[in-house]
Amino acid sequence: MGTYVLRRLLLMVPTFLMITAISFFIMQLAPGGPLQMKMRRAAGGGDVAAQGTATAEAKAAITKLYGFDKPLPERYWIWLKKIAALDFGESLFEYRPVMDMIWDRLAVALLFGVPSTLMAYLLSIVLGVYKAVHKDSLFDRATTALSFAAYSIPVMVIGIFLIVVFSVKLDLLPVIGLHADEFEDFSAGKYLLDLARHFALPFTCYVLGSFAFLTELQKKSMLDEVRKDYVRTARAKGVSEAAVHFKHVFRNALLPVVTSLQGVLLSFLGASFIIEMMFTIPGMGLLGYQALLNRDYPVIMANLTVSAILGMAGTLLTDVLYTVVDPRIDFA
Amino acid sequence: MSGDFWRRYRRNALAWWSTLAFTALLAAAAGANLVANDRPLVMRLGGATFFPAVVDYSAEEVGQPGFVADFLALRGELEAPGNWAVWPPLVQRPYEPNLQFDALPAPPVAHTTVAGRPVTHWLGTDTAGRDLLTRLLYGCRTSLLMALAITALSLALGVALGALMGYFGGVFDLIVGRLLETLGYFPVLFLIVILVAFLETPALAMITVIFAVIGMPPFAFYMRGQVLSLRKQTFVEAAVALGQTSGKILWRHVLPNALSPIVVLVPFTVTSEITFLATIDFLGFGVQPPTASLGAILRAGFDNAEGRSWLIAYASAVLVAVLLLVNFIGDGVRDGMDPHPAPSRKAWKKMVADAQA
Repeated sequence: MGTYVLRRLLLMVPTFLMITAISFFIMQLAPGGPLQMKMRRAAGGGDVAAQGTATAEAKAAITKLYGFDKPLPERYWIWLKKIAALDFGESLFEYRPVMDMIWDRLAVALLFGVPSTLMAYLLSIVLGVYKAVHKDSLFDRATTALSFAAYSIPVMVIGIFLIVVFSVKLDLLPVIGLHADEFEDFSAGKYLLDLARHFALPFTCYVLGSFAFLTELQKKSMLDEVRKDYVRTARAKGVSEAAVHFKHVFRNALLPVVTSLQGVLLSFLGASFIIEMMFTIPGMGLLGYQALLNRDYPVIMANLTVSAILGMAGTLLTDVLYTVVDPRIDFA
Repeated sequence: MSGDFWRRYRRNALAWWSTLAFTALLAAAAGANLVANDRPLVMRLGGATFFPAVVDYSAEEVGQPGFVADFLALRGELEAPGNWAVWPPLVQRPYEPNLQFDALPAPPVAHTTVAGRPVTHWLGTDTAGRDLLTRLLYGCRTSLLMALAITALSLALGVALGALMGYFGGVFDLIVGRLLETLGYFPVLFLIVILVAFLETPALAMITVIFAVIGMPPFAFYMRGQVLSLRKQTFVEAAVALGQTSGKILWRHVLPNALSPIVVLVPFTVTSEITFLATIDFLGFGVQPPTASLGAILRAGFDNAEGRSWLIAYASAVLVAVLLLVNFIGDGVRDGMDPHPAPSRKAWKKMVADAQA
């Protein structure tokens, strides 16, 4: 196992280089580019007319300072050396190191994203197994229709409905951020209640958006396994139904769902993009969105790179989980 | 695709009716300017015949001052003897705001005047006082045609690249494969939004290309796998032995055999592209006003949720209905491709009863 993980980590080096190269290339497509942005700010204003006031010397100085006078490959190499030390430069708007901002946001992702992903998985697995065991029951058929409908409703639409119904019309739950403004003065109990109230809608939105696919996948993979010969053998030798389902079928049926974990980890970064924006949750997605509106290039670049590296780590995690769920799989 | 496929596909009633409904919706959306417009389909004016709904005419050509022809203002003249006009079923202005905007009543069915004549807005109006039904129709045109174009382009690019990767293998396969894999690690939505945002004034064609390139990897990997397994088949080896060129082998022997399983991916790609398009329009990065889009209508409703929540209701109903139809079609295609379909509930019960008897 140790050698396998090590080998995988080494194989990640070229992928890491490719991720950074793609991020770097995309940033080169940016109109105006970071230089123009910095010049605007140096000239003391966001408006385009002020750009003319920046003198030629100032321009040359900034160009030299940020290395824009160097050829493209050299610039990439310099940037690469910096990010190897997790130095993504400074935000053009908040004047603080980009990596500090990212750490803050990753903490939010941990607080919101990880519990919602786990919850969606747990719910789907339990529901999927129950539906497979009680196949064709009224409950199974009703939830199949429901999950087919839920599968066709985009997360964005679920979010809009939750916000309009529970926040705008009924005025029951807050939709902005993860805390009330004055949360630092709250007692522990009140703090938790406040957190729960702020979590309720985005959490529901996330779980509703992802449970349908996973539930049906779990159910289908249970049903596929039940048809196999080893199940017939187990039943023939008198193993109880519960033991057949939970000791034999369940572990094998979990495999396809674990496979999809990687996709869900990625879409957690992607889905959280839209959920974070609608519910103003200060995570990676919202950071990226605001940076994009401000054309805060170092932040966009860092966000893109860090997200891709997390995606890569997710893949590794999935592969390791594989071997845990199914010891027969041997990657080494 | 064989006759078996069509037989199985037709047997799935839900998929079959969804196909018919989707085709009808697509036709109405693609011909939106013939269904709802402020221009006549055909008109006869001063001895000349015009087709304003499909051809652009300058104001001068129809004898009006200014640059832009306003056909609603011509209605008096068109009713004069010798002149005539055939109007579309919904006479509505698709792009210009209705000037009576402030006077709009709140209920969904609204009665206003457009160019001096009373009109009914069956689904109410949007935030600029335009007829919502018309806007939804034009929005569907943008969303559906773009999603189909993106899927077609993704499929073509992915199949071409995947076939080359699988057939030639080696360093090319290794490099392109790792590149596509790496692209898959990026958060798709964020990547698309960044690229589209950098276009400043995004052209529809450019958005289409960006979506298509980012959506290509699954098609490429699937095709690669297909080609790898087909390459070892005896009929390909025979073609090689007979001295066929690589291009001809790929085109004549490999492609037709590899393509049909990929068809299963197509409907699900269409739904995810429709969703992505609606999302970037909702965020305001996609198509620019006055072009209509489902995402933009949703946004307008969301921003005015207190007063105009019916915009949300209608736009999301249309969006979800379209996605449901395409998903039903996708289900039918998948079942049709499965040579060993699971027995229906009825058939299963009969089998069990027979076995017990």
